[in-house]
Amino acid sequence: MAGSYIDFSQVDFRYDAGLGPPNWILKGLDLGIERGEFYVLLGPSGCGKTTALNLLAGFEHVHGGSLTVGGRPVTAPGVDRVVIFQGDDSLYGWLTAQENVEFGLKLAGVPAGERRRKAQQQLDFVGLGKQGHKFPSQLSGGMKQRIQIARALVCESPILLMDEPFAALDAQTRAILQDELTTIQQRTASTVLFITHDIGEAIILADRVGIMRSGPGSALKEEIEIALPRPRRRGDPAFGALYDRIHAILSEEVTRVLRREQASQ
Amino acid sequence: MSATRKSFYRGAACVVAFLVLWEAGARLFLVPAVLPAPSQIAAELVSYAATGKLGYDLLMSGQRVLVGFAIGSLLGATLGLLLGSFKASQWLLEPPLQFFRFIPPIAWLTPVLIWFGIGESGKYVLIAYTTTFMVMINTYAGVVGIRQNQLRAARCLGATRWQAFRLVIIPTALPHILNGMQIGMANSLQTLVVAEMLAANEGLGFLIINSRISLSTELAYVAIFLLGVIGFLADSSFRAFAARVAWKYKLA
Amino acid sequence: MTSSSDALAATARAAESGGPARTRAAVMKRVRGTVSLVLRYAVAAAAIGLAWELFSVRFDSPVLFPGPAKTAARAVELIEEGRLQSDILISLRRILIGFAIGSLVGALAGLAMGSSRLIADLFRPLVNFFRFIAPTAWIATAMVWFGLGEASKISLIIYATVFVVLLSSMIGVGAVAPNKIRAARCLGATDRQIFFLVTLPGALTYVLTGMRMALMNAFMTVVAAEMIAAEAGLGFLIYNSRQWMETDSIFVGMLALGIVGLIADRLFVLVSRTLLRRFSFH
Repeated sequence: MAGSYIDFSQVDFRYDAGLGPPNWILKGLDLGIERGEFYVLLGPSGCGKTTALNLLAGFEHVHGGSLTVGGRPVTAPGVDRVVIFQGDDSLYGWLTAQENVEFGLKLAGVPAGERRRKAQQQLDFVGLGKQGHKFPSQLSGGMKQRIQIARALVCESPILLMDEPFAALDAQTRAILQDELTTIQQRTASTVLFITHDIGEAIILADRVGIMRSGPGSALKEEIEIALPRPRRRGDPAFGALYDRIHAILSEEVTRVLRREQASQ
Repeated sequence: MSATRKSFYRGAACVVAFLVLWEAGARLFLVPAVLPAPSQIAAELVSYAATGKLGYDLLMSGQRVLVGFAIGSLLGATLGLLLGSFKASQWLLEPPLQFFRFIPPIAWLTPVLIWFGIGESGKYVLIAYTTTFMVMINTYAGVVGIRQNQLRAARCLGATRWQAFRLVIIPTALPHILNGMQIGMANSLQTLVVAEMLAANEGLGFLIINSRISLSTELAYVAIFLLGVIGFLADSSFRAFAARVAWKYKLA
Repeated sequence: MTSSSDALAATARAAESGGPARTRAAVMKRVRGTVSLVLRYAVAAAAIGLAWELFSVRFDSPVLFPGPAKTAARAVELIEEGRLQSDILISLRRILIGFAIGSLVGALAGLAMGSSRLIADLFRPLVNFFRFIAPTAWIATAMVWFGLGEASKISLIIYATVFVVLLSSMIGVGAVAPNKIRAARCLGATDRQIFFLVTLPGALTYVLTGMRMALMNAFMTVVAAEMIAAEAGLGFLIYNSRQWMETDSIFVGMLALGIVGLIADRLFVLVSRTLLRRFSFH
């Protein structure tokens, strides 16, 4: 798999438990994502998928193996890999929606006028063109996630990292945002790593789905190409077939977790 | 009758009843040396104010609090921000902070008197310490309690350490700084009173303690009343400031 | 104040772990936590001691600024004379009595004001006025009313405690989730039952938080009161030593205050956590 645009190669990661044995989260994770690909990482909770994303974001550092983007090792967070977080707690409550979107440009020293124009463009793009003056606390959960997306898009980052960004939303809003995200990704041609535990969401969005084993010492269990044409419909029989297939793989892992939890009680 | 008006009338009725009972009780059963009646206190307030001495006392007390408070707020916010931003200082700093929390600022009065004498500088130092400490621990707690995702978002949007400090940590700490200043002001008033009781010849604290010598209990109550008013006004202005000017920093 | 990064790492660990070694890991974590805490306090004490020593050497005036050694020697003397212990006990006794009465009155009044609109309306203006008067402002009055004995100091500590606990308890009642009360009501609870089975347990954390803050206020007030009007106690020790320029005794008194205060606070947290653990989960 060496040579992929984003390349996890034999990646290990652990949390040190002081006097006790270290707690291995990832062990020998191999994962390659191509430029412009929409990759969804799926797995039982606690399997280390968020850890994989944090490593790529540069928030955490590998303890073994290598992690490169475009051939260069990841050492620190950077504006080429913007994260869209799960909750809305990463938005700045003291800034308006517009100012939140401008934040990355401000950091880069972009002049105010250009900043405002670009942010307005992105706000229009995510359908919040008239809400820019509001504060995050005045917006709904779905709107806040759109602001986060706009904040990332405005930086024209080639890679978007999304950590269950729609998990806290209601089903209707989630479905709408999934469709919007597909459109956005096709238009911007950015590379996306998207974390979720929702099989349906994975099939709707992904070019390729990676399914992780349950931890500890997790790695990739299986990869599935999703070749369905877009826009995808949940009613599609092919969707159902894929769903059943992924569900079968995933439930083995979930059952293992449950069995272990029962044994440890 | 609307609910708020009803609340107001009930409260007013209770205040009036309290004052009437006090007035009657004081006039019928007690001598002014023990408890003067509200009307006697009010009369004293007017007559003492007319002599112009009250203005001087208020000025002195106000100056002591404001100078010390301003220095302390600035120092406390700076220290809290710096100490909270470095992990090593967190590790090292928490134990001594916990310890010094329990040495009341008032206890520092004695060494301060020995080191600085009974002049104004000692009082400034004392009030400044009182405020610094409160503002510092609140600011520190605010910085340490910052949401990790807000810092991470800034970093992945390309923030330098200094940018993250200026644009994320300071705004997050702001409501905590204000909160610390609010508590610091209340504590400063406490410290001030004691300092003026023990080491001053003017000011509200002096009026209270001096009444035992001058046998003017009414004047002591005037001072107590004014301290309450000042405390209330200070607290309300902090609240108003937080609500009107700094409101957006409170929001998540 | 645990540092947030530690807490976050711990949460992450808990979420991502799931190995069979969970309980052992928990024990290890606790051991490690205690060791690290003791180490931190030791390092901090050493750092402060060193800074103090250096400062006093520079200051070069054992009378005005005694170093740790001289202060320690003075502490030993005061302990041998029996003065330090008795001063600590006298101050503690005043604090405990005043704090207990003040907390009880404050909690009852706060719960009453939180539960009844009428009571809240009646007393809110008075409470809001008196709570802004510094307890120390009443020192002279307390002496006139209650004399120079224990009653005057205890009354001041009650005053310092009451309003903090009252306000916190009142907020606590308001913070009980309406659905908890609705749930009880639709399960057939009477008003009385709702108060004792839902409101009171729900507000308890707030009462305790208020008490913890009040404990600090009580320490502050007792020192002030003893500085002005007492013949014994830590405040008296600290202030009276000034007349003889015994700065070392002043330092001993202040250190004792810090230590006693810290222990009292830790004990309060420990007791409220162990006895009332279940009420802190909402």
